[in-house]
Amino acid sequence: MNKQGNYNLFQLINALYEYRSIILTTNKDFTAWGEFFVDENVAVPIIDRLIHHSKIFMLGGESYRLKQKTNT
Amino acid sequence: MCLIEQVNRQCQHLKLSSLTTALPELLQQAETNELSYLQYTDLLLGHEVKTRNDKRLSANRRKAGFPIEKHLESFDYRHQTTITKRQVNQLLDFDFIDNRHNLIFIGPPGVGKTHLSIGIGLKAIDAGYKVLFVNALSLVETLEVAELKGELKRKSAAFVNLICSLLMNWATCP
Repeated sequence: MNKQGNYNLFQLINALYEYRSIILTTNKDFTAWGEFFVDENVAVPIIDRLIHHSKIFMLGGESYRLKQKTNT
Repeated sequence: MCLIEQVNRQCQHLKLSSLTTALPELLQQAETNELSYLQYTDLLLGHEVKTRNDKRLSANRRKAGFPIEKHLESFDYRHQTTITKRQVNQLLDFDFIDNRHNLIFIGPPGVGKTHLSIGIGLKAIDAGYKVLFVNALSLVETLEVAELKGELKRKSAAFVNLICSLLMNWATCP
């Protein structure tokens, strides 16, 4: 994602913050979110707004897709 | 003009479209059950309200843009044991939407994050909320296109105003 993309996304998240709910799914821990962005520093304000007032569910276990494959 | 035609025309005029088609059946019901005037009025209006509501919900489901319809009823809690049915059911009073809180599901691929979130999204629509499903990558693209057209502000405002809950799928290749 380029710099402008980061900025656009931040603008949207900021507009939704404390005004609308976001249900977010991710396969990367927040500590690894720097990978999505040009650098870690732009990830921080976005993550900050996402996790403030949020319920976080850490899901584990093995993949159902993989399980279906191995069962057949 | 016979009376039924006149009633039909008046229904159309008032945009009570569902009554136009259902009127003969509703009249029949009233006759067989010997409904009181008040009961019949309730039956007529109830029918129109229900039809409109159903239409609105199915339009909301369409606009939500789910890539696939996954219902919570088919979620397998025996396979996915790191979240309980009770935890999920607790979310379905939608306090989190009313309080503008977020839900975040973190986990490796294939553990049911998307299934849960779409299931919750569908239930939210049934409860009258508006939901929009977006993929993070396509969201970034949509915003980029809007930005190039100089419509970023308008696009963001549209997102913010039209939805109660944004369902964002944020995955990456490892």
